[in-house]
Amino acid sequence: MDNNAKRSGLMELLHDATARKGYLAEEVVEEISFQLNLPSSHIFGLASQFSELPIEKVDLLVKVCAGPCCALRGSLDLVKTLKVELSTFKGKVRVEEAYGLPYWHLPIALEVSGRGRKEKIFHAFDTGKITILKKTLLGEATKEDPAPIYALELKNFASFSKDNYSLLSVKEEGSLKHYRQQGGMSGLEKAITDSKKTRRALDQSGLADFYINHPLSEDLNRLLQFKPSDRMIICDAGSREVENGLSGMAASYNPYAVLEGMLVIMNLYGISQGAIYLPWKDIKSYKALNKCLGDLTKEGFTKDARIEIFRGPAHLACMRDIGVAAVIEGRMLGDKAAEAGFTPPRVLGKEALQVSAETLSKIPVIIQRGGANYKKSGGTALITITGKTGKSRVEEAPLSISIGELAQKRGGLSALKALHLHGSSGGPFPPERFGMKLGYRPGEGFGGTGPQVLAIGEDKCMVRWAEYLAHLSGEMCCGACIPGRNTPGAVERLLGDIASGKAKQNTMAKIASLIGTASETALCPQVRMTLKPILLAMEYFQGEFMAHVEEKSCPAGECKSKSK
Amino acid sequence: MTSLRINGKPVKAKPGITLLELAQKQGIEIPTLCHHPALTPKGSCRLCLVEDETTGELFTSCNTYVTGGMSILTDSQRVKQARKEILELIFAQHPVDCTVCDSANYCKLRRYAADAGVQGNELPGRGEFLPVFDNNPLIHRDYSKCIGCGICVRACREIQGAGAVEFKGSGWSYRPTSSFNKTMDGSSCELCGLCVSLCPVGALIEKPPLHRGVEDKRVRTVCPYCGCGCNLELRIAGGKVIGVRADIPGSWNGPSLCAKGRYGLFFVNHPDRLTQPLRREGEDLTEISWEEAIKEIAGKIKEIIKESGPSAVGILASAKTTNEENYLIQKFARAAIGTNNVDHCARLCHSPTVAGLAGAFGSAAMTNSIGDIEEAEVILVTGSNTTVNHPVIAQAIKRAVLHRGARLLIIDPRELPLSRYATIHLKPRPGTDVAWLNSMAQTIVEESLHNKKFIQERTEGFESLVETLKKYPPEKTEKITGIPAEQLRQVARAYAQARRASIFYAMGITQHIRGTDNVRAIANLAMLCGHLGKPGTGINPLRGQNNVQGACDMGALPDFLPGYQRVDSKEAREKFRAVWGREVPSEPGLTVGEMMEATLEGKLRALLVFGENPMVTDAESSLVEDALKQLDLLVVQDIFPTETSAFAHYVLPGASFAEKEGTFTSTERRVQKLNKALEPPGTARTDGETIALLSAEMGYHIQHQPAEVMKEIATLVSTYGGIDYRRLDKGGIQWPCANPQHPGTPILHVESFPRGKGLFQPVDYQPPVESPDHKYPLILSTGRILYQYHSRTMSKRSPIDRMEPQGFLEINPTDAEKMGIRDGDAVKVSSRRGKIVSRARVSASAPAGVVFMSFHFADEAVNRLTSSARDPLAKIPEFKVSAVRVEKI
Ligand code: SF4
Ligand code: SF4
Ligand code: SF4
Ligand code: FES
Repeated sequence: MDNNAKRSGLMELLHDATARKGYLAEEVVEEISFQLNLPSSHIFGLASQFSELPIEKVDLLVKVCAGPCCALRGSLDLVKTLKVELSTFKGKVRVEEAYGLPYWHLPIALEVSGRGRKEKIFHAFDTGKITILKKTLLGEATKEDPAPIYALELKNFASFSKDNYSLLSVKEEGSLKHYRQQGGMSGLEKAITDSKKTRRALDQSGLADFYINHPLSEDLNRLLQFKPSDRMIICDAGSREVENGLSGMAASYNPYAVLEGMLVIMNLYGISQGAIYLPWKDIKSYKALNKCLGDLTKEGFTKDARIEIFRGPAHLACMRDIGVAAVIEGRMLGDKAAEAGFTPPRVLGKEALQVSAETLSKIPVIIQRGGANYKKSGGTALITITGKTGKSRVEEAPLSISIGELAQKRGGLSALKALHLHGSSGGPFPPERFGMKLGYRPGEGFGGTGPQVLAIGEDKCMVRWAEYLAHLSGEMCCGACIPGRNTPGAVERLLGDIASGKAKQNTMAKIASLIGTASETALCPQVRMTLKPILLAMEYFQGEFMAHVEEKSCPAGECKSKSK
Repeated sequence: MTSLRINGKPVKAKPGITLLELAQKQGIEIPTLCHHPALTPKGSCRLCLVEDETTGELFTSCNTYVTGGMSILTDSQRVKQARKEILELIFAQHPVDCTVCDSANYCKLRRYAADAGVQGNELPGRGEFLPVFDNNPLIHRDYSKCIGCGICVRACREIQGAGAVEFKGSGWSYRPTSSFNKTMDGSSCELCGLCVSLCPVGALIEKPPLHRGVEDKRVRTVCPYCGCGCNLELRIAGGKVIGVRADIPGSWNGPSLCAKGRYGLFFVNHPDRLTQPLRREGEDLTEISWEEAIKEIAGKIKEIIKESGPSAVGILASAKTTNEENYLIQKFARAAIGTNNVDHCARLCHSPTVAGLAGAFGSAAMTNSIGDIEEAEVILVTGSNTTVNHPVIAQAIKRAVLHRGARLLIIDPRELPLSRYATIHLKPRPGTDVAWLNSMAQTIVEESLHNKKFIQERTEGFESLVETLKKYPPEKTEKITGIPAEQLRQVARAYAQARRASIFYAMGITQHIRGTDNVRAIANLAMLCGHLGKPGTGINPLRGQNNVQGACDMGALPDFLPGYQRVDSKEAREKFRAVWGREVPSEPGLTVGEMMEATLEGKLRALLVFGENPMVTDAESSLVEDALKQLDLLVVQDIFPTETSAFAHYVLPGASFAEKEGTFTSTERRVQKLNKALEPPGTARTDGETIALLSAEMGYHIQHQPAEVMKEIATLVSTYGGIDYRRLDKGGIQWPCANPQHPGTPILHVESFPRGKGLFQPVDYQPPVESPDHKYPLILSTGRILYQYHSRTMSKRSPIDRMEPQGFLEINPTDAEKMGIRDGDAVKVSSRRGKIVSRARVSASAPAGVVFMSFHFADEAVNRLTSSARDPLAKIPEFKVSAVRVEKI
């Protein structure tokens, strides 16, 4: 067999091997390297990027979500505590920070696995339950101990808005007929043939404008410069859903809708090849999509278009899309991310357009209800709201309401210091900015992941929060360039100096300068996007920062030893 | 041309060049840490920033191309500030220990930091460093100093083709490492040292560091190991070689070398070097003066000539010494002594190539160049473990596969390091090459894939070839070769249908009793498809030693004068007589092996050996030993004592490659100049000086100044006609080069063959002399390993020896199990001719029924086992097939 063809199965081989043994053993990597004629260092390097492909055998592996919601609840400290607490465990144990665990919106989320254990996800864990957790993990729990934490079945979430565009649904057993009954598009064929009308509807909807990271229109223009046979559309149906705290793509969007949306775009823009990428563990969605694709093919909707569905790691450190591309291509050459810094990657030698499952799933509805209607409503998006607002939830919300309104509806605004928008690439906004619309696009290029709103209470020190954000930035950057690799760490340490009262007069200026340099000089926008929140924090909460620098005090009382 | 401004100055630039290249052309220095001109730009260090005044943007100059209207500032305040901060950031994660760093004097980071006034303590440090791997004898990896520039990763992938290192992890710890952090030699690393030589900081360094200071000088020369002929610079300090550097602008090999070139040249400094002539007195060798030595040796030679005639004297020239010296050695033999008894170890490697290709084309050498390997669509490698024997050529083959999509077809009994790059690897039984080669040709003719136009216009004898081929359908030869017929057909089709296909072979083809026939069958195949005379095609015999091509070119052969002019041609002899002033004997002389036999028969009485070690390298060494002991006069000139010099009556100290001027001709016919970097130790002399002294003593004056000798060569050898030292100083020239204006010839046979039409020489398969039988059930094949060379005189005295200081017997797991042998067990290996003891290495690389040993190790002298059965024409022994028995002891 041709080597490249063999290599395209690499990711699956690696996942399979991991599933069998619980980790990627050296002999296995050597064997795969031999079979695929790939240097084992490439496989090793690839595996090392993904926590799903551990290269070391452990008896107990505890991954603690270190995303913003869980971090706000103290998950980073939990990692430290667990490391100490579990040190008596007989066997090899590892406790690590993790990103992109499902259920992160129900903080704190944990995933426990290891030799001979069934992987288990816990959520809504709070640090008070540590003793019970420890007992369970060490196998010392008695019958009398209450079950520590239990995994919730994710229910279909309520729709905030009557203008429901995401066609939530979702049953695996859902048939095409069922989908149609639910209000799925019935005129796919028409939409495909009447491309003028379809195009108008999409243009009017303004859909392309919303996704800051997916300037659909711009990407399309670029794509159109290539021959149809060189065009490709990729739907990353992975991380975004994980980031929304959902357990799988099919839990959020109707697979028929996603496929139809893709077919419409492919037909409209003469794209011959489509690919949908799913996290490895999202078998439900994988099956559902395949079934739906089969149905649509049977009905003749796919015509000449080829759509393939892939699975791979859920969390890709940086330049997620590029990682996805590389996975689809079956190999990740170390430099891919770097080379592709500013231009979307070529995948399988084709120019690729990347669209999220959310965007695709809306297309059939927009075509049915008309683009203008969508525009008028401001559109909707799946929103996660969590933090100091009572119950965490995920829902489809209209983008025309303000963040304050949303927070108000979901738990009230009292004792809120800030609403942190958009996770690692957004920023904390003080009450005077709560009037900002949910669909607000600041223009300076942040945004990124699906909208999320995190409510921060008065008791949180914003310097510590900024320090955490720098830590997060370090985790988000792939490390391929020096500013991306070293700036977050340096900024984190300087912020640590401020928090602990060791800062000098110019420390804040130095932080701003480092972030400025990194933003101007880094290889890709990732480090700029993920350090920006720190600048916002320093700007909006300057007083709190100055209190640490000048008075060596912490108004929130979090930096206890220094507070007055 | 594009117009733009750089630092205010208007300039014009070719579109497609980078801003960095433009700046360099303008003599403006821009700091770079992750850039190397031979590698794809990665833009990871961000130090090469420049500012475009017109837009106010900062961007990296190494991967930004010139655009009209730009106004570039390379040193603006903003640029300086950003660079300074990037350097501060690097040091936030880099130990500031320049004072004890082995690469401090060469470290780019330190220099740039000094320029920018960065002390390294501006930012709070991470306080956590990446690990140090000190688990390889040659390469020290200290990733705490690594700046993640990725040069090593790209170089290993893009130039070396090994892919032994790759980035691991992400974020702050994103750094290169080997698979599972293994030692380099435990990975796919070939220890070529390329990554080490290009690392801009002290993260990768050579072990042991010989010198921390700055070198006194660097002298450009040519690697003395294999036939690739890599250009390198010797770094000299305090009268010693302290290191090696490639990457000489304009050299054919760019930054590439192999482990031998990189870590194997320190033998020059070794205390074992011979420094004074020695004379045998009983068991001992005692020092004498050069005057005495020359006088006595010349006297004895004269005496023997007087008693037994000039044919009682033989000389072994050397594939290791220069063209000029080989020329002088054969001139001395022919003109001063009056014998054609001059040969060298090419006999043991490529004499069948000379015989086979000369018959087909009229000249025998690699038809194409290393530089055009990457143009091939299909590359057929047979009988060559290229990665081990010609590492830098193997790199080009790997690049062709990895980056140019070429298909690699391997036909070789052993699993090879190259196998992982191959589309298909067929494993014939040893000694059955004519059978499969004919079957490939048969398939091509049967399926009408042959190149009719080429055959019609450029060849003769096609009909008789077709007649012979009829006997070789693949289905029939399958029983002989063990290659499944359909697979062989696939390979035949792939080779025939490619637009450009090349063949590479080495001793796996030649070291057989039918070696010449093998070469002829290869020539038939290439002519059949017209794969000659174009880039990326050709027949490419890979010559083993640094100057084996040159030694043959220079007529260090018993039947050829310089330039392959036959000694039995009156015209040729006349031409040389006119210049030399002496008659040239007309009878062809004796080959290496025949000299040994003649000695045993009492016909040869004196042997002069220059830089060869027949005791280790010749077949059936017990015969060699008997012969050497019987000689009346054995003189050995070498740089170290050898197994052969142990029997010598006189041992003369020679100058090494680093201590002389001259030329080597590489396997791609490239004549390249050596420059003298050091004085020889003690009283050691070049082979040329010794010859001149001896000759003068015998009454025949020989000019030995290398430049003058080359002038003489140029007048007598037309292919060297245009070669002179002044031209060579600018870089090597590939022969034929007829006159001073001729640019040299990268590709042979473009329009026609030297003999006019190419001749198909049909050949029939004949089985090897020995087949495995009940008593000796295994086939022994011999060859080389990467980290040793020849009889180890040089490699064992260099750090590279540490990689593989002991011989081994490679044996297939199935065979091993049958015999109850485990990896590492001591084993006795015996053949009809002798027995030796070795250590088993159980490995699937050896096919079942075949064992492999290298011939490097004198204490496991594998040539005690090999047979001296020879190819009838080329007289090469059958090193590749001997029947043996292996027992555990
Ligand atoms: S020494 Fe050569 S083969 Fe080994 S890692 Fe370095 S470049 Fe690659
Ligand atoms: S080891 Fe050297 S060459 Fe390799 S990435 Fe690090 S600094 Fe660069
Ligand atoms: S490939 Fe040959 S010539 Fe080049 S460095 Fe290695 S031994 Fe020397
Ligand atoms: S040299 Fe240009 S980014 Fe490193």
